[in-house]
Formats: sequence, structure tokens, C-alpha cells
Amino acid sequence: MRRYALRDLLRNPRRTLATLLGIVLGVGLFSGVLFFVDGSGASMTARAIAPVTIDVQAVLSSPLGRPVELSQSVEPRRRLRPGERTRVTLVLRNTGAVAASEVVVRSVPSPRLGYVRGSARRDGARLPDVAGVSPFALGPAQIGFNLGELLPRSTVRFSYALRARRAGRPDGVRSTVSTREAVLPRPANAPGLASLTTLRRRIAGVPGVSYADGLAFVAVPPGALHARRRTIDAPAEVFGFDAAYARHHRRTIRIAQGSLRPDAAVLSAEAARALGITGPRGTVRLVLPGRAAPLSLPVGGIADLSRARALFQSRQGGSLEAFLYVPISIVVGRRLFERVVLPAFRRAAAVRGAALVVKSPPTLEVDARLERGSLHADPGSAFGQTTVITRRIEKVAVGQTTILDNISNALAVARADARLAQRMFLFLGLPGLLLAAFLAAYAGTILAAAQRREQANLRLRGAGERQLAQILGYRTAAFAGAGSLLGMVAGALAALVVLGASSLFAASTWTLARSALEAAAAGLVTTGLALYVPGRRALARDVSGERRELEITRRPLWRRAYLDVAAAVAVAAAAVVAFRSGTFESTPASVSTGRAVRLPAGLLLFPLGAWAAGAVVSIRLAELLARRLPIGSAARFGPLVRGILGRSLVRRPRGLAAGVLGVALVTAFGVGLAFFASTYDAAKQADARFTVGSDIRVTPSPLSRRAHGRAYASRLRVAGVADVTPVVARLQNAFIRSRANSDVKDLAAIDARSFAATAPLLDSFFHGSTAAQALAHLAARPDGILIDPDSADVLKVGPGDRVDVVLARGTKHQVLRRMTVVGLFTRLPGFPEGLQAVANISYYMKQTGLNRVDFFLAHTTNPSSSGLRTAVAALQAGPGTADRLSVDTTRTTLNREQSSLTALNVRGLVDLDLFFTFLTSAAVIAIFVFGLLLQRRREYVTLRAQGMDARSLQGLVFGETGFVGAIGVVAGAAAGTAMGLLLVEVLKPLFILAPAVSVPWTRGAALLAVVVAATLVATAGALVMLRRLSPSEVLREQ
Amino acid sequence: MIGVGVAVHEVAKEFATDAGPVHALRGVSLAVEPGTSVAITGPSGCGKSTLLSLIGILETPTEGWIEVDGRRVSGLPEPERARLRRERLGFVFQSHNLQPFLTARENVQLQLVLSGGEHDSRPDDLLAELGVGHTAAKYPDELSGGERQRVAVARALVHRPALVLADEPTGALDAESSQAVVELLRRGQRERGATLIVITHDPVVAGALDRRVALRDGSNAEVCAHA
Repeated sequence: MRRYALRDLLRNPRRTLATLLGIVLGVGLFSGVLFFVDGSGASMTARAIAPVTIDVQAVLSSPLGRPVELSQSVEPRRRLRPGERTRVTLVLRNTGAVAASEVVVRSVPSPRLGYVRGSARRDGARLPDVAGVSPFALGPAQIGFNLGELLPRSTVRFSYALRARRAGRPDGVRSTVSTREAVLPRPANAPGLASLTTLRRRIAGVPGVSYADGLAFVAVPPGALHARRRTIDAPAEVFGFDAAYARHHRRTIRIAQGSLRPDAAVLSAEAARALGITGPRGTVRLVLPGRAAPLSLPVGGIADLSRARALFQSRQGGSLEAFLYVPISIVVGRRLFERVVLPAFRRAAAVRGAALVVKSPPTLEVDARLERGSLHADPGSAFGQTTVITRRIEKVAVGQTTILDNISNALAVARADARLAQRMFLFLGLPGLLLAAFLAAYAGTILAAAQRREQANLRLRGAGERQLAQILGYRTAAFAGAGSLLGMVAGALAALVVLGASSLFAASTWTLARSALEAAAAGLVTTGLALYVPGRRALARDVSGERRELEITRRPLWRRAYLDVAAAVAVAAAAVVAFRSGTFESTPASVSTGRAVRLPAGLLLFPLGAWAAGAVVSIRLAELLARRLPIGSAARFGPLVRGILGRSLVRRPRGLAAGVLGVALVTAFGVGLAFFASTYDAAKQADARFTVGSDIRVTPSPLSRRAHGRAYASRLRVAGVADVTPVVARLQNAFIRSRANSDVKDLAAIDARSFAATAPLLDSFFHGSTAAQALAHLAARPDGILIDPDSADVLKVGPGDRVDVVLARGTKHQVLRRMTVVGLFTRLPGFPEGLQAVANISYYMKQTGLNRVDFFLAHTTNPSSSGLRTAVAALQAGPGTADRLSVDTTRTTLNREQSSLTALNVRGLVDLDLFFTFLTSAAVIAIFVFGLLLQRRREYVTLRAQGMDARSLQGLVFGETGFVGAIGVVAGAAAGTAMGLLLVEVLKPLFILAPAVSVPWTRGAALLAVVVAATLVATAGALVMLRRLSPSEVLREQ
Repeated sequence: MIGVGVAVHEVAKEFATDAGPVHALRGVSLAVEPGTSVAITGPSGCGKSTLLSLIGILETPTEGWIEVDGRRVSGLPEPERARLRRERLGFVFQSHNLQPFLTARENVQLQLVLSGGEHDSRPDDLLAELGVGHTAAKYPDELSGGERQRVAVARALVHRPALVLADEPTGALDAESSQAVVELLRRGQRERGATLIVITHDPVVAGALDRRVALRDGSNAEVCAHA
């Protein structure tokens, strides 16, 4: 039986190939997607941690030391018998020069020991219990005793008794102290506080840590920096780090002149300019609180710190990604900082009243870089690795550090994104599996029909039902096995081409092997069933019954019950309900807040449902249309081809149903993907332009000696640049006050007219007006200001209202002006993190006297990659030669706020899907045509015998195929459009701006061309085969 | 319509198979006078149907040639052969080979359309004449075997062919239906003066025709004339 089945497959290569082709393509698509998911998931770790500047920060919780100390003793300490007592003594000392407030002592015994009621004492006096429990461990949360203020150099002694519940030593009493000044509880008898140097050395020795650097910084008030006779009247930041730190962050800490020496200071370019220092010479004086004489240091160098994310990245939990740049900065060696700056602040803090001078205490931290190369490619596994390393770092100085685990936060988001990507991609791969099953079933049905005669012969020769079923089983196993295997190979090759070997093999061998097994198993089961079931059904039927040629039989139950229409209506209704209830709305992802893209997997059922239901309804559409074709009267046959074709289509549309369904399924999938791909490309481009602000952003270097005023924009209009607009923008550079409220705001000053011509403005960015109207209002009123709706709510103002605005806040140029709200805006290109106010740049400069532009936005004549390259080259070759310019483009800017999902090669996946879709559409047509030929060859040969010429015969075959292709394409395009629109809605959270649906004309035309070409080629092939058939043999077939 | 003469000259036909070439016919010669009827008999696999396909110019001989009405047809290009088939030949097959999606009338009409004319009443008249007028609006799968074959005969005769070729026209019929079909063929042939060549196993059918030619193993074995 096995040999017979094998020989049968080899003897009928065309049938074998047609059946295998569908399975290979379907399984290829599914397995390709699985491999793609593996490869992409692996690259997600790299993408997720790429923007992380500092992997782990260990911040010393008490940089100035902790004056309040707690010691604990337990007497007796020997082993106690049940019921025996012991006494805990806690001694609290304030060794500092100022009082500590809100001092809380907490002492919790182990469960083996019970508090002895009424035994608590404070300096010998009885300390009352609270509701019968220890005052040092109140309630379920075991809150400690708040003794209020502890005066400097004072001591308080507490004690309480414990009774042993079980025999054992009186261990496990945990006591801590915390104060309002040092909130983090410090354990009793804690060892001496670690210094930054010790902490750095210990963390550098933790396994998994590549290197660790010490960093210290503190803010000093305006007037702290002097040189020659100049004083900088602006707040400044003092940094302490070593040359190694600068080396590890050399891309962002750019020492332009001189070097970082232990005994000298490096000034930021802005500070140097303000002090009139042009090079590494002379001295700078730094006034420090708690130090009588200013610290005088030689100027060792000048640095551009404007991009030093490691230094200016926010350390606040809620805004870790915020870049809080302080232009006036001075860098000293870490040891110098520890030796001179820190003690000065300690002294200042120790003197009551002087604390007011210290705006915020110094920050001492160790920035650790993990061995990224040894991290697992999968973000989930990498997350496990980094958390283990972080735990080790935590243990280095328990209770003395606060750990900011930036890398694990990023990986946690990436892990969630990877899981989401898997679900999302699987949904895009599932149609492949369903198509494989459909094609296998389709081919199986055709195969079963073609083998009826052979089976009848076998029956005549004595083969029973069992033997026939065995042959069918072997044949099915061979098809499904070989098809799944070849499909898996095709999928792997496709993924390799799309992703590249390095990305694909970044996934572990086990992961790839698992995907291969999953794809093979899924392919084997689905295609096996799809092949076996029709074959088994055919065997069960009466042989003579198979001879019925006219397929006017009863419709299947699902058609009679209108289940297809019901499914389509259900999907449409559910989608409408989901839209109205805001199910598709979602919060954008944020890496900094550890918020991954939220995309319920259930939503992905909508596009899949639209695909399947739409394609199934196409059968009904085909029948409906076919039955309405004009076929003339009973007496008049009509023109030859039209007469035959019309009657064939009208009277046996069921024979075409499978073909229509196949083409519709493939077309719908292709069109849906094309819609998504096209929209995705446009949305990514729009996001990039929105993030940059236009095609190009030019930021003058702080090291430049040239003043970059508004007029400099004209110098940037080089070849390839169409428009340039200047922008002034700083964080918290404005203070807005209304009658109701006031708040600090981020304000940008723009030139409304050139900004409108340069930046990609959408009407949806503005409330109550179009973009053009809003900017026209701003341009028309010099003192006009646009504010965001949240600020408007807080300030209780709207268009037309007057507000008081402090411009250039925090600088010596700050001025208070009364301005008029001219409109409301939600977003502004170039400010993806958000912005609260927009003013006119000319007004801003005139009122503040500042003429320095922060950056320029440029709109190119050609936004393509080549156009951008041309413009950037012209900028660097032109104004860039005389000046240091930093040029960012839509191609180079990496948006840190976006999820790692956006970095996935979604386009690659769509290309992979489309590649298989194109091939599958051609395969469906080919299988349909050859199936038609198998089913109708007797009809065609009879017509030939009756004298029909080849051209008419070609017209007949092409007519039927064309009808199937046309209906399938039209119905599929409709279903695919619905699928594509739903896909765009579902995947909206991937983008910053709501994506505008883009019609995929090119890909749609390509799909249509493939269907038409496949129809023509398959028809031509079918006719050649028809000519080769032996008429005498075919006409005698029973 | 006056029947045409058919001459088969030393015809051989070879088919290529996986197991090598198979000689279906070897050196067969035959002459059929215009307006006469001939039965070609022989055991299964002796090449009868192949010979009919060659005469019906559905296939071309490997060797030798065939003349229909004094014209060599074997080497004609396909369009010309198709024209000859639709205008001058009529086929009746063992398994009727009616188009399943056409009614009986339409199956007959189709042959008329193919041969270039569409007469409104001729198919109905012919079907009635052949005793299946009541089946005109029925599909083949709604007809009995005998009725189907009568419709097939009507299809073969409706365009008044000069040569009617029938391949086992009674092979799948009972005796009564067989006799009726043969009578119809003979009547049609006589009334229209056509030439009739019938492949048959049935000696009764063979005996009803003017002449019988027996084939054995792909070559002529015996030719005999009936009264």
C-alpha cells in the first residue's frame, strides 16, 4: 500500500506539485512569521537597552551623612526557655549640629518572642502601650514610635521586654530609625556609611558589572561662579567625576579644549563664555556654602555638555527620561569633590539656618554599566539576568543606597513588548496556516475527484475500504509531511532574507528549533486533516454517485442558514461597538515610566474576523452575480463562448466557489497587509517628522563662538533646503499667572509664518481652530501666546484672556509681561515630550533682550533619504565649516519615548507576508485552473471533438478563471480594506500621531497584476495540457 | 447532404508511455464508400477507438494517411481540422459526453451553433423525431441512459454531417435501448445520405450495418460485407 501510494505521487507529478505547492506556501508563511518573531524578539533586547544611558544607578541615600544613629542590645542573649524574659535596649543619638525631626524608632521582634505588656520604657520612664501592643510596632503595619524632634548632640534610651514563646536564642529583633531628613529607615547597629569611593569599588567587583564610575553633583545658587571680574548670575551645577567617566560617556561629554585633571576645573562652553574664558588657562572661583573662601581652581578645559544625558538626566522617578540641562556647569575631579565640595555642604547643613542656602543636597551615585554582551538576546531572559545583578548591587550597601535599575525597567517594557509582538505577529501568521489548510483541502477535493476512477479500478481489483483508506492515509502523510517540511524551509529562508543572518541567529537555537517544531506540527495537523477529510468523504460515497456531473446539489448548512452573512454582520457590529466604546483607544507607551504598549490580543480578532467573514461572503456574492448573468432564451443559444460560459456560470456556480474563496482569502490578506504597510510607512515618517520638528533639526554647538540669532536661518537655506525656522525652547523657562492660578511652564518661541511653512502641522494639534488659523492669530498679535488645554484649565483662561508671563525665567534676562491667549494647542512638532506655551520669537527676543536661538528646523525640497543626505552634506559643507553644527534628521533621530515595538521590523514582516501572499495568490489561481481542467477535461475534449476551435476553448477556460479571479479580487479587496483599516486601528498605539490611512495603490496594483498574470499563465498552461490529452482515452472515460 | 468516402491508408499509431512506445495501430487500411455504414469490431484494446479518433481527425496517425471525401485530412492544421469536425462530422460516444450544464435541447443546439447556424426548431424537431422531445428542457443527469444516448444521436445528426462516427454507442445500454439507438442512427444516416462508421462489440449492431471490419492487435483482420 505504501509503495502504491508513493508510486501514485511520483506518477502524477503535476497533481503532486499542485497539492504540495499550497501546503508549502501556507506553512512557509506561518513558519516564516514564527522565525521572524524569534529573530525580531532577539533584536528587541538590543533596541530596548540602546537608549539607556546608565544601566544601574546606586544613589547614596545620605550623601551628607546621617547624624541620627541607633544602637540595639538584647540582654540576656543566651538561649531562653519558653516563658523566660529578655530585654531589648535601643539607644538613639543625634551626633549632628542640628535637630532631627519626625524621628521614628521601629523595633519588631521575631515571632518566637512576644512583647511583654507595659514593659516599654523611655529614659527609664514608662512608655504606655497602644491598645495593648508594643509602641515600637503598632498595628498590622508595625508602625514605629514617633518621638518627634531629637535635639543636636542628645541621646534617648528606650527599652522593652520580650518573653520567649519557644525555646531558643533571642535573635531576630529588627530595629530601625528614620527621620524626616533621612526618610529611608536605617537599621540599628549599621556599619559606618560607605563613601562614594568604597561603593564604586564594591559595585565594580559585582559579577555581571562591566565597570562602575562615581559621580557627584550639586546645584549652587546664582552668583557662585566667578572668574576675573565676572560673576555668572545664574544657577550652576557642580559635577565631580573622573577622566574614566568622561571616557565612558565620550559621545556626549565632549571636552573641546584641554582635559579633565584631578586638580583643575572644566567649564561648560556656556559658563566659559559667560566668564569670558576662551581656553584652558586662568582660574575660576567657586563659592560654596559652608566654606568661607571661594574654591579657586585652574581652568583645565572647556566642554560641550549640552548632550550629556548621563549628567542631566532626571533622577526623579516620574520623569527619568527628562533632560534637565543646566548650561552653566563646572566639572571637578571626583576626589576633589569628595574632599572639598562635600565637606563644605556638610558644614553648611550642620549650621542651623545655613540649610536654607543649600537648595538641594549633593547627589553621590555610582553609575554601573552591566556586561551587555552577555545579556540574553530575548528581553525576558535578559530581564532575569539584569535583576539578579541589580540585587547583588543592592546588597553591596544595604540601607544606604537607592537603586535606579534603568536597564531592567527598559527590559521589562521590552519583555511586555516582545510578548505583544509575538501575539500580534502570530495573528499575522495565522492566516498563512489557514490558507495552507484551505489550499490543502481544495487540492484534496480536486485530488479526490481525480482519483475516483483509480479507486474504482482498485475496488474492482478487490481493494476494500480499509486498503483504500490506508492508501489515502499514506498519501496524506506524505503530502503533509513533505509540504510542512518544505514550507518550514521556505519560511526559514524568507525570514533569513528579510531579517538577515545576524538578526535571525541572534535567537537561541532552542527558540528557533521550537518554532520549527511548532510550524511543522501545526502544518502537519492542519494540512493533514484538510487533505484526509475530503478524501475519506469521497471514499465513503457511492462510486456511481460520483458520476453525477452537474453540481446542482444542496447548499451546505452554513450557506442555507446564512451563517457567513451573520458572521460578517457580527464582526461589523462588534467593530462599531468597539469603536464607539473607545476600545481601540489606548495610552501611548513610555519606556521611561515602564509602560509598555497595551494592546489586548482580543482586538486582533477584529481584523482576522473581517478577513475570514469577508472572504466567505464573497462566495455568496459570486453566486449572486453568476445567477444574474444574461444567458439568452431557451430557444436561442446565443454566441458560442458567451452561451456556454454564461450557462456554465449560472448553473453551477458552486464549482467556482472554492476558487473564488481562495482568491478572495489571499487578496483580502494581501490588501489588508498592503493597507497596513502603506499606513505604517506613512505613520512612521510622520512620527519621525513630528519628533524632529521637520525634516532636519540644526542645533548650534555651545562651543561655537558665533551668536546664532534669527538671522542665521538665512545662512542655513542651502541647496536642498526649502525653508528654515528658528526656535527658542527651554524647560521651565516661563511662569504663567492668571487670576485663578499660576504655574511654571515649558515655553517655545517661534516665528509663526516660517514655522507654518517648515513644520508638519496638523489641524488636530489645535483646539477650536485650524493649524493655519492658530498660527495666523499668533503672527497677528505680537504679545499673543498659545497654551495647552491642561494649562488653560488650571489657569482658567481661554482665547482672548490676558495672562502674566515671566519670559526667560531663571536667567538674568527674565521679564514679566502681560500677554494675550490667542489659541489652544495640544502638540507642536519638535516637542514629542510635550510643551505648554508658544509665543512669538520676535516679541520674546525684544522683551528679554536675548538673541540666541536654540535650534533651527529645516524643511527639505526632497524628504527622501537621498534628499536628506544632499541637504545635510550642503549644510556641513556650507555653514558647518565655519561653525560647529549638530544636524539631526528624520532618519537619524531616535525617539526615546517610543516603545521598542516601533523598532521592530514590522515592514520586514509585512514584506515577508506579502511575498507569500503574492505566491499564494498565483498558486490559488493555478490550482483552480488545473483543478478546473481535471474536472472538466471531458467537457473540453467533447467540445473539441464537436469542432470547437482552440481560441474559443481558450475563451471558455479564461472566462471561468477570469470570473473567479475578478469576483475573488473585488470581494477580497473589500474584505482586505476592512481588515487593513481594523489593523491600523488596533496597532495605533505603536505610533505617536494617530496614523492616517494610506491607500496602497502600488501594492494593490502589484497584487492585481499577479492575479491577472497567474490567470493568463495558468490558462495558457491548461490549454497546452488539454492539447496533449488523448481524446480517444478521455472520451471513453467512465 | 451526401455522405463522404473515407480512405485509411496503411495507418499506424504509436503512443509514448512510461514503459516505452505502444503501437495502437499498425498498417491499417480501410475504404468506406460514401453513404454506406461500416461496423468496426474487434476485441478490447485492439485500436478501434484510436482508429475512430484518427478518422475523426481528433488525432494524427504516426504513419500512413487518411482521406475524407478524397482529401487528405491527417496533415491539416488544427483550425482546419476543427472546421471539418464541426461542419462535416458528427460524433456519438459510448458515454454520451453530453455537457452536464446544458439541457438536452441546448446540447443539440450547441452543435448547430458550432457549425455556424442556429435554427430555432430543428433541435426540437429532431429530439421529437428520436422520441425524446419531452426531455428537451431536462439536464443529462435527469435522463435515463437510453434517453441520453438518443440526445447524443440528435446532437451528432442535427447539423447534417456527411460522416457520423459512433464509438460503442450502445455499450452502456440494455438490448432494447441498443436496438432503438442503432435504428435511429441507421435511419438518420439513410435519410440524410451520410456515411456511418460505428465501433461496436455487439454482433447485432454490427449486423445491422452494411459492412463489418474486424481489427485484431492493431491491424486489419477481416472485412466482410452484409447483404
